Amino acid sequence: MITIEFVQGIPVGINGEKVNSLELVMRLNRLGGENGIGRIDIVENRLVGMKSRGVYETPGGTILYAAHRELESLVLAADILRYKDELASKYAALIYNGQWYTPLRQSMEAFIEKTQEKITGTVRLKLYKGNCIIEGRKSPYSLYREDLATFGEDDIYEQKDAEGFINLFGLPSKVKAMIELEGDVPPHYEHPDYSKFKRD
Amino acid sequence: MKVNKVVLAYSGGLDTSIIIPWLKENYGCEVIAVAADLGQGAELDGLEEKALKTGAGKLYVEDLRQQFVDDFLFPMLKSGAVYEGKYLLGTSIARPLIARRQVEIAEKEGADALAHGCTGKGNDQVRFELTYKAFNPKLKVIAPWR
Repeated sequence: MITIEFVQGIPVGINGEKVNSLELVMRLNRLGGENGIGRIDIVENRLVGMKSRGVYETPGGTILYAAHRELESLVLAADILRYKDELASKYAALIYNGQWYTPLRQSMEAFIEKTQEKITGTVRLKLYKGNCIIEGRKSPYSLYREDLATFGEDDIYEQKDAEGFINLFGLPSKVKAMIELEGDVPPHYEHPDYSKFKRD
Repeated sequence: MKVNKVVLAYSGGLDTSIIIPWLKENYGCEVIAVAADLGQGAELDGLEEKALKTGAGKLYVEDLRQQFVDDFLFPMLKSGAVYEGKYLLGTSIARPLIARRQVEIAEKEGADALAHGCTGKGNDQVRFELTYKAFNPKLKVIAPWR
């Protein structure tokens, strides 16, 4: 079991002890390596056109990615998290293709930096037989509110509001179905053939 | 192509070891070898002796580990970049740093060319050479394996 501490998206400590960044990466590489973490076997697409099979090992990186992502899930608003996910695959392609020193990559970095302002906190993980298992996460900037997420009564969420929300959110589905039921347009969804399911 | 002094990205493996005498034979130039320490540990042992024995005029062993972590790995970690859903880009992210240092050494040494041991079929040739172009497009590039 290990704990990793982050400040503004950067890992700064392990198990409550502040550690220099290089030392931290080397320590996680050793710990992860001992537990068989971060080995991949991949058929990847090279920039120059062909597929190639590669085997890579990134133990420390695998642990850090898992921990960092966990803190982001806790702290980032849903829309930023999703937008950042879209950007990440493009950012990965830029790195893969050798375009680190480009204005596009630098501009994307500026956005990413802004998203990291509140990625501060700790993540607990278990390293076990090649797996990196998240056990918990904590941040002063957490957006998670247990009282809001549980299905009981609370002050800021009015359950009756959900009815109107669903009516508007489902309006396109409703209109389409009504038009189909009224006449000429054939229904979009096929009726399942129940005869092929055997019943005892 | 005329070359007076070339700076080679050197690992001490078979390919870059052979490239040193090859460059001297084909260009009659001085070869400066540059090895980057990115945490490969024992692979760097005895490197200077090896480089000089195969004909390099000088070997630089650059400890880039701290810079690699702070200026490359952690910014990438913050981005969440993963290639094709799996690959954490450990090799890809190292190339711009090595190539940039190679250019700096070439300028300091007054060299007129850069060389690397990447083949013509891979990604690394692109990663090295895009960085060369970004910092000093006037330096000639020699890629003996392609």
